[in-house]
Amino acid sequence: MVLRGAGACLALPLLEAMSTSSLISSAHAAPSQFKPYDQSPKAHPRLICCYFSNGVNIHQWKPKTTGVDYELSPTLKTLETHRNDFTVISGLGHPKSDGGHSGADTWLTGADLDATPGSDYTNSISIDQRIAAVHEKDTRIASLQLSDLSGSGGALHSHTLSFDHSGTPLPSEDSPRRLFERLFVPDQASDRMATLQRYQQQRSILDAVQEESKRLGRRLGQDDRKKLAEYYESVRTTEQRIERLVGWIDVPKPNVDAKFLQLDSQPNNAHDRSMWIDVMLELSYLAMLTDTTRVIGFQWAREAAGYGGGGENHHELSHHGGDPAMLEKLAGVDRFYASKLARFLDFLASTREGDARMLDSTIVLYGSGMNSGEGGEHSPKDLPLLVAGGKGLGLKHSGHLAFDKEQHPPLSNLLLTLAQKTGLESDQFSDATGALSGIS
Amino acid sequence: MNLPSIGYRTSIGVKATGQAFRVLASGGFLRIGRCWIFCLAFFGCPLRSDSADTPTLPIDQAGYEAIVEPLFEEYCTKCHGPDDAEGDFRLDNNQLGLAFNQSAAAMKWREVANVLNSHEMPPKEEPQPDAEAVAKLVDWVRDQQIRADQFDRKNKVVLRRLNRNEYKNTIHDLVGIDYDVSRFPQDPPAAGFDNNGRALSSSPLQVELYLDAAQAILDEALVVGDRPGVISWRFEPETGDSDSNRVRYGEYNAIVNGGANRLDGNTRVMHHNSWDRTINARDFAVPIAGTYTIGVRAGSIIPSRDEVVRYAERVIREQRGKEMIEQPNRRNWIEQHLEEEIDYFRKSRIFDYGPGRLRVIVHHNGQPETIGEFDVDASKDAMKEFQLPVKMITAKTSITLEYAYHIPPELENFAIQRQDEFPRPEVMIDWFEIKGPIYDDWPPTSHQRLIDKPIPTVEADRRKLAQAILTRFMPRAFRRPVSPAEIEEKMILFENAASSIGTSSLTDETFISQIKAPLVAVLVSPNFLYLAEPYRTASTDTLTQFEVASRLSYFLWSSMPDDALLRAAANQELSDPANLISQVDRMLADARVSAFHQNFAGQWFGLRDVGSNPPAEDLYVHYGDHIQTSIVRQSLALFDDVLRNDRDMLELVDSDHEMLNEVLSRYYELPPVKGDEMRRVELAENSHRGGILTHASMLTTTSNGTRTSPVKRGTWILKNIFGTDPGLPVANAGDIAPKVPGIDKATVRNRLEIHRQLAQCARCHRKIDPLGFALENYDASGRYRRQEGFGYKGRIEKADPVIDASGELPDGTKINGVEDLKAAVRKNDALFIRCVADKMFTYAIGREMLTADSEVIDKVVATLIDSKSTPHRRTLRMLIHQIVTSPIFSQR
Repeated sequence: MVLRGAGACLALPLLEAMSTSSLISSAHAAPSQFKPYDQSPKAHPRLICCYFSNGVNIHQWKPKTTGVDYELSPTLKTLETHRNDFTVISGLGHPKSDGGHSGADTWLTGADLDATPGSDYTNSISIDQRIAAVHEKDTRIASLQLSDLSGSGGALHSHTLSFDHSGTPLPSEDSPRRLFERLFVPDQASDRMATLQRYQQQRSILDAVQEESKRLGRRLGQDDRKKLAEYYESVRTTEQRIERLVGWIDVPKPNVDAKFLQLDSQPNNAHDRSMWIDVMLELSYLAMLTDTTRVIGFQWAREAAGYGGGGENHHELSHHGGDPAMLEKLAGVDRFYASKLARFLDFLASTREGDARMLDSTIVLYGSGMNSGEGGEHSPKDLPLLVAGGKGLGLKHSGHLAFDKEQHPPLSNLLLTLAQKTGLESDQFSDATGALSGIS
Repeated sequence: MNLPSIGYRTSIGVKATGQAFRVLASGGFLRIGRCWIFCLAFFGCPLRSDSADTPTLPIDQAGYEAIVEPLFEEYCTKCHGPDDAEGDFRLDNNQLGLAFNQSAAAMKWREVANVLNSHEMPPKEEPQPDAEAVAKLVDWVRDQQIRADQFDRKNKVVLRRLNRNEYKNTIHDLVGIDYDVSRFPQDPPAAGFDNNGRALSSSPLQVELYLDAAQAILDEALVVGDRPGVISWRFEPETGDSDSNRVRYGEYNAIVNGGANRLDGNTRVMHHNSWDRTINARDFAVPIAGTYTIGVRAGSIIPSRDEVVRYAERVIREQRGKEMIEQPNRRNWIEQHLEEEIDYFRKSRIFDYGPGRLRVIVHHNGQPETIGEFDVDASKDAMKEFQLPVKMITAKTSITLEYAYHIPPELENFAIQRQDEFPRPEVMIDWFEIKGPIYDDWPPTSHQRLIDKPIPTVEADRRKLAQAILTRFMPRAFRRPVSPAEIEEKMILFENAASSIGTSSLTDETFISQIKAPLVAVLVSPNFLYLAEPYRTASTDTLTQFEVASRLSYFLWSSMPDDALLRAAANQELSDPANLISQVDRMLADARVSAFHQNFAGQWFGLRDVGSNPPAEDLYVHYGDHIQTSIVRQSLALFDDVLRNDRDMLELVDSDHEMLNEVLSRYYELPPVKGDEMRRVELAENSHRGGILTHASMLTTTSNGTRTSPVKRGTWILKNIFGTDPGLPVANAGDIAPKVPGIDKATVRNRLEIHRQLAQCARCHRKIDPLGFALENYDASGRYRRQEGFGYKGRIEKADPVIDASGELPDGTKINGVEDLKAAVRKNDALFIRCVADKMFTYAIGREMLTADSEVIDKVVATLIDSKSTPHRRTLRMLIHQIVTSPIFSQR
């Protein structure tokens, strides 16, 4: 490069720090002060599924050796203290998945998105929703959907991991503050009678809407009717939910101090990014500890977007084409994410729960629905996956569990196994052929 | 199958084998708690039917055997057969199947017809079938497709849910409330638009949100009691420059912080943006939620070029002078470059300053919302008050003013431009204030429109009033006449509410909370939330007048029909094409048509993606927030101009005029324009601009942030200009290589050419890449370049490779650069017009266009092209006229 004088040369490093956003945020960025609780009141089977986008640098993710005594890979080094509490699983994938950036759409469903004739996109129920259905009567909130952009996203670019029984995406929450309010802030109409009245009124309104839908449905064509049925079912589910809420009316929401929660962190601000993941995991921890919910699907970043701890263009890096410099940067993002997982496992491991630890009754599934490959190809095979916790539920951790990436049981087998450990009494899910051996 | 709970017994475990959903074996009432739950099988008719219930498409086996099979066997199955299975595409043994109504099969057949038609297959070196046989096969495929479409027509989804924008606009027109729909989940687009009935799904969360929204909308619309008191709090930023400056407002000791900005009399002067340079008022809350106005009294100080050069020259001479003394051996070198450094400030367009610019941010519950950004178009001596409306809640809040003028931080200026003495546009702030809540009247119009007279205190009269309210409201909400039975049904909710609230007190308040029950029910009714077009008789597919009115208004306004349109429907006027056309012209002249620009053109041109992967700020320093909003406005303005002024629609692509404002004229390095509003400017020869293909909106969304992507650009042009979908890459195709062995400075083009050497990639990329290469003179931020930069942070150095924008189109035309590309579009104008027509039909009807529709669309396109002698026929308005008077529009 041509520098126009020594002055400019001296000033050069400043350029890096010059964007206004970095100037603003560096003043505010602070590590979280949040501390986990010593005790959890009661053990319940729980599952949290944590998804990161754009795959990983597979060279640095995948351990070179297998079995219990495997050597931790560079990316997973940060999880060293928990090595007896997790299993790295390699070689698995959803046989019907197309790969590319649609990984989040099928990560928990295993669906063949092109399966239904005449439809561009058909998804099916995700495993978290199967489990949520088992526990929904026992918790205030059946399951949480979290993501770094609210809503459900478009087909093949899902912002949510969760799909209901008709394959309809369940929209995600991205704001820590709104999530906190939903979990822990008492409803405005604190007057019991008024709240009951409101529920009552909402239910009679929904009743009326159902009647109306039925009448309208009779006059529609077949496909129209299907569309309307989706609405009808949603209305019905909402009515059931309100019905369940009536049961919770005398149970106050748990009292949780917001003091150390950085609730204003913004998911898509490069400098808040690290704080945002922290606070969302802190809220997940609190939601489970207070038994507000037992099932969480948390998409840390959308596919084809997102960054790690700073302003990296994670998506661009995933198209590394085998370039060593890009691969190194990609591994940096992977280590950043792994360190967030480590912090979350620290919480669960340090919280006592009866004679055991909260980690023992909580299963953490961590991984991606895409493999960014050795040459930057976006493959649905040999996904980066890790399962932690759940020993008290019957999971056994066996170090690095390696499957052949061409001939392996479907990933749904793993999902089914995790569901069975968290209370699902079924041996069927998606394309699963049975429980996954080697982990229980 | 294991059923997790009784409520979920519908469709768990969709069989992935392509089998239809299983029908329920049984259904009936299930009693759970106090609530009767309705099982789905009793939902009028079976909702998901087994294939046995549905008549299947009769297949044309004989036609296949006579026309297709011989050709396949002779020319195709050698490679596309059991031995080779080239591209996973087998044609032996009728592997494609004849179920043309299934999208997987239909897509493959379309591909077969396409490659045969365009002589892509069989490969050139193989024996070729004769043209007549190919034509016969292609016609057969097309006939099969039309037959399948017609067979399925009655089953195609047209029932569509209002999307977020439509909901917002409809609520605005129906109730008079601006509801913030950003809490609703994003609507997924399909076939390019987010008003596609098939893709718009519903979930329980949505129902909950609709319920909440309806309640909130009515809470805001209907009021009780006297007009609330108004606050008017003015913040004087000169009173302090730290958070310790507390000033009393209402019950709050608010922080008023003028920041590290200099004082000039009793104003604060903002020089640049940094974390300690904002002006803000924090730690207070407004007493009542509602609409408020934020006012800012401000002016701009715009330094002249002379001032800039004088300052830069002084600083540079001082600094270099010192350096020459300290490093005598570099003296000559420094001296040589000194003039060059100063010259930069004399010449760079950056220093043709415009007025200062301000961004206003309000925090609601900790979430920041930028409520406006504007040029401070007022001088120091004639400061002006700028006003912005904002919806406030009663949580703790803050107002922040941020300096928003962007001087691109080029290497030559960044060290100097942040110095406080450097002459930059400055913004003077006298004061800022918040006033409100604002009502247009008391009770507000929203209230008066629903409840138009005093609320009586006699029970029977109250019932009558409720009936009158619903009788007025429901037909507008449902966009059609409503039967007395439907009103009576809602009256039950009114009465139920009375019994739960208790009718002992017949006050205004109880009436309003009572009437909200049926009104909420109307706003969560499927008749409101869905554009439903029920069948009346089996013999006709023609829509009712009211359904046509709704199609029209959601097409052009993304909102409900207005009274004039509903009246026309009631008078049966909309079956007359002349009336339809005059309605269209009336609607196009209405301000609500901006929704059409935003939603149709905005999605066609991909404007919603602008900024989602923006040019990297360290590489493309000229790009910034103001540019980002301006490039979107530019493309919308182009569409508006071509539509409103009845220009030839080819001007969307190729024009010697361009829509510009001040910052864009600088950004594109065109002759200066003053002011922030977009206006039409004539372009000089070789301006490299004119038309959507030269807009930074399109050019940035088809780049990767750090580099251009000729593939994305080529695909964009194929899809959005020529109307062909190049399809998806083959599995595991990978991306282009970041480096090319043997080439030190490998351009994007070099890197892509490596990729194209793979046979499986070449077939499609031959179509895509030349189109993208033609735009290689535009960098990833949409600025014009002659070379690809390999210097520090992408700067262009002398020896960097010169852009090669040449290529050959599939038809053999050689092109070089954007002008040739535009000429190619002009030459293929029929393709372009067909593409626009196809997209607009899709948007207007809310479903994908089928092969069966193509006859009608072809006719429309022919009408537009036919009269080249009167070029005014090729206008967007004419296209809209043609669409609304076509049978596709008036039939379901």
